[in-house]
Amino acid sequence: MAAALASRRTVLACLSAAALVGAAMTGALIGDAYVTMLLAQSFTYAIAAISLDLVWGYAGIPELGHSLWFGIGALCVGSMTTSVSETGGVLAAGADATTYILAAAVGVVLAAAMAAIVGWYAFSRGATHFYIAVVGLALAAAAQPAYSQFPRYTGGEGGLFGFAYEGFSNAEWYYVSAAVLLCVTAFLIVLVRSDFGLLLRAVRDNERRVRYLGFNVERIKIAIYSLGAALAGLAGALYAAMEGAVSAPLFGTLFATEMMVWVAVGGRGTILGPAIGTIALGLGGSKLSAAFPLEWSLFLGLALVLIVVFFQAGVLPPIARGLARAVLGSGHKAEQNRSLVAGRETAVPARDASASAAIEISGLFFAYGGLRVLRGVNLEILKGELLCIVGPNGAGKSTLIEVLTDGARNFAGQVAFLLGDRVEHQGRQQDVIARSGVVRKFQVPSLFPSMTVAEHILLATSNGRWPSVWRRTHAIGVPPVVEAICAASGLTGRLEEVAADLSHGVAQGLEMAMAVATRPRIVFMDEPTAGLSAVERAVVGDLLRVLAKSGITVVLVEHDLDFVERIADRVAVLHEGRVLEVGAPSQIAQSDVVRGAYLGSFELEKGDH
Amino acid sequence: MELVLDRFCAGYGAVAVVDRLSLSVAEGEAVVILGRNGMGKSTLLKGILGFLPGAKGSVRLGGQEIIGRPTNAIVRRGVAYAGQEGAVFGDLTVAENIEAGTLISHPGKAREQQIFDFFPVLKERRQQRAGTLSGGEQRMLALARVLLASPKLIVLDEISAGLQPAKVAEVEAALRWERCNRGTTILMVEQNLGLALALASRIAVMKVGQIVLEARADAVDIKSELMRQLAP
Amino acid sequence: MGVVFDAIFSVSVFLLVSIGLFVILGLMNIVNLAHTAFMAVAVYAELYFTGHGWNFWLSAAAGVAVTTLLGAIVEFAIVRRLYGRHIDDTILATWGVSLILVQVLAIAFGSTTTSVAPPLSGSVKFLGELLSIYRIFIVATVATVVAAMAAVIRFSKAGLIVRMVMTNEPLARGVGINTGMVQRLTFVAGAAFAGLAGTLLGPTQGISPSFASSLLASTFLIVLMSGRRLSGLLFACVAAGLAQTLFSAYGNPVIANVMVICTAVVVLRLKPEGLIWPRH
Repeated sequence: MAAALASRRTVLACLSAAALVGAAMTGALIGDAYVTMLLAQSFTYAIAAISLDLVWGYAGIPELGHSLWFGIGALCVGSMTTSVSETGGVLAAGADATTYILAAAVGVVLAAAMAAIVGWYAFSRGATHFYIAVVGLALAAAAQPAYSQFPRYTGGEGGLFGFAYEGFSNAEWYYVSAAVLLCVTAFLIVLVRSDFGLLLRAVRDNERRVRYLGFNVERIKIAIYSLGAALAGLAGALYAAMEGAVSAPLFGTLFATEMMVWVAVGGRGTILGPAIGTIALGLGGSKLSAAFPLEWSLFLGLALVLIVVFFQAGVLPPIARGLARAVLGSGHKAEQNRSLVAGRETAVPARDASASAAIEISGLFFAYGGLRVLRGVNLEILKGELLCIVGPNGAGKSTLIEVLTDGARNFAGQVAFLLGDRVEHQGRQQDVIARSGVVRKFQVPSLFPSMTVAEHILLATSNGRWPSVWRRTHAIGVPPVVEAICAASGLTGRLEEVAADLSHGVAQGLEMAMAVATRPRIVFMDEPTAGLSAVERAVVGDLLRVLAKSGITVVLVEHDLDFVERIADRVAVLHEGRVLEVGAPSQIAQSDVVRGAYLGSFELEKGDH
Repeated sequence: MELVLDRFCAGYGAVAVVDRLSLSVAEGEAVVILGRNGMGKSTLLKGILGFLPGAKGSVRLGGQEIIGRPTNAIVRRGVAYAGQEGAVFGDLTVAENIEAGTLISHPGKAREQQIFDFFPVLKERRQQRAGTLSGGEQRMLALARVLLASPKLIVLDEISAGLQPAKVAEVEAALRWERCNRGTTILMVEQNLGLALALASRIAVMKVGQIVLEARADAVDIKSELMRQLAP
Repeated sequence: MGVVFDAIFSVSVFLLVSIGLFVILGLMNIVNLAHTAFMAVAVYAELYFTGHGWNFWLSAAAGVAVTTLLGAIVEFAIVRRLYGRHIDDTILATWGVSLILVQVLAIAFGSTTTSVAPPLSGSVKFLGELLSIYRIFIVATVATVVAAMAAVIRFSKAGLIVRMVMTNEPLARGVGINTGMVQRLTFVAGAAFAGLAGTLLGPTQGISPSFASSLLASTFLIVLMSGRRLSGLLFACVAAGLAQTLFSAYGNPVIANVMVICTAVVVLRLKPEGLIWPRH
């Protein structure tokens, strides 16, 4: 505990939190009514900013229309506490406290629900990663002109005004908004530091890979997008109840951009940074924009350009780091390490004596555009066997694995998985397949560059179940064979290194460790030995045998026939998109058909070794 | 073309994967670099080609210092390179990929025909988009592109990876022809020991960012020595 | 008939405005949100020079030159430092540039709306409709520019180089192409296209510092719909132009703008790769 307290990140967080609480106190000390209200207002902006930081900074969702959710929250309060004529004139304004609370609740729920719908539309499969940016920009760009088209509810061009809640004094408003800001900040900090926060970073780094770990990425993104919208809606509602005014610009792209500036200044992906940055900008900004109405947006533009070009991490984090160094001195250790804990696995019968099928493939056709790759593959993969798929280049080996791990591919033919009940493969998404215990090791390592080795393995062990949104796991429970893989590939001492620094070979090892850490029933391995030396091949071969002995069905694509003969139970030869022959390794080596298509060249390789 | 590295360092960001490495490749030589994974072989080649900002030390190509020069300038001195990944233009057709190889060399039709003779499959697929070729076919296209640049120095990163053995033989024949008839200097990283021994005049073994062994490829005890070195 | 010509003109305007954004996004993977601000600079330069007694064509040429120069400066000072960064960064930085330019124009020229007289006045009667000669001139110019660009990309060596940089930038460097220079020229060319668009469209509408800014969101969406191919850009502009014309004719202009945006949102969802033919 003491070690954890002394770590630099913790000190950073404490310093920033102290600054935030300090800001929350100073206003009251100053006692100046104008400054108090200004601070109270900037607290609501700060809530919007940290909600954007969650969506944009942590989950990496490029959100260009966050103003929309703020606007919805504000409009709900405005609309429910005023009565408006057909043409948008405000007839009466103000209501009792219950109405305000109800209106705020409606605003939050409405923002969350609309964001969920937008997210469902924008994140679902088939849309590109960037599509949400398009939708956000489009919604904000359309909402501002559309605002004036519904004067009955929005007050039209002039907006709604005069509905500020009268029950609070300035100082009370100040404390209320400060309290809400501190609560939201604390909530988000716990969230992003939890195991679930790790998942968010993984989605930001490499979405496709998260899917193959069994997570429903769409649902994660919708949830976060919707949570961000709800918090922005809350901020908007608070703002409206305090200011008593709402108009079209609150929905527009300029306000959305301003929110992005707050986050960028404070430092993306730090939560506390954007909160403090917003308050500072809000305080200085309003003074400046009042003194220089023309130049203010010039300043804003310049600030934006300078920050993006020269201070990528934002302005505040470097300052905070400097302070932390001053307090602690340099050379303090990084955060408390994570470690692997090998669980005791119950022994699985070595090999299913009945040798029943785990996967049945018949008449499988698949084409990339016009290029027909698989032309009627028939194959039965048996439970608990180690099957090697060999074949000349372009025979369709990698494609076969691709199709078998993604049922949403547009293939023709019958594929069924028989892990327990018979499940048809057609149309099943990658994450569903992964959760059913079918995982894949990629040919080219596909990792999360900003995450550590331990974090990779931790995510893999969840196997698609959402990790805790508040707990932070330190001891990662893994099957014993994962430890063996880590030891063999030199990962053991490097659990805290980020993936971006790993070499190709070590990254291959991590890929394998991740595949096995999900406790799979079938593992597909695309060339696990690619780019490995003879000695490393032997190690990988032993590990694969260990896997197969533990009852896992292993299917691998491989070129090296020596290797194949040593480890495989059965070999399938793929040639021009068809399975030419299946049998024991020795039997395959004897086959004349196979020899004709392929083996002449195998012998050449054997002669070389 | 002669290539001399002196205390060469290269890496990604703060990590120096290649650390004060010295190596010289004489004109007309074929040097093959072997080594286990993650020892910095690919990084070395990328560094020589100028793909990695922040590389330090000295790289002399034909007597001239090229460290810090941009990749395109280095290539224009007569170097052709095929990396391990992204070695073809996926959206362009095979024919256009081949044309890309000729942009600075203008080798002429006869040479183009010769390359197609080496790799007949490329001729069949001239109008196909390179991205739809199989991994092995893409390796061959990359090599064809390299040869068409009529380089004085060829730099290849595991050109045989993912190739079936018969195609490895094609690659071997093409590179051997290139060296014998055009006197091209070759520097390559390879995992296929057979291909390495067949092509190389000299073998270098890399370990943790440095060369730990250099030997003539026809040395008597080379195989046992290599097995010893490549073991963990 | 009037509606048909309105639609053709609207398609041409979308093409004219989006083509500069298109080349920059395609070759550099940069979203230039300062594009319409560049157009505004061009039109104010045009206004300035016509105000000093230059004829329209000279002023327009000067406007294009000023914008091109501005593009080179912005590239040198800002965009150059953003190569290889995440797309969010370029969006923010170019948006910042846009805020600066628009505000500088407002400070220098005031925020009031002015106008510049079209050089070709009058109209011709065609199938019973009066068509403005200047609008016909714009349509013809856009058609020429697009045709020339298509020819260059498809058939010339420069076009091959452009496509090489688009599909695999490091490899293009690896075969000897100075890709940095290609990208720099691309940004400047994009700015020049903005200059062309600004100076040509100047006489067709009121001029204020936020000139053409209402087109930014829709042209950005159009460029995304293009699938980074010229044919796709053509389809996207036709779709947007039709939506714009129809909803303006049978609704109101506010709704038309909203509808263009909605069209793009729906199209991009159904065809995320853009409006391109499937490739084999």
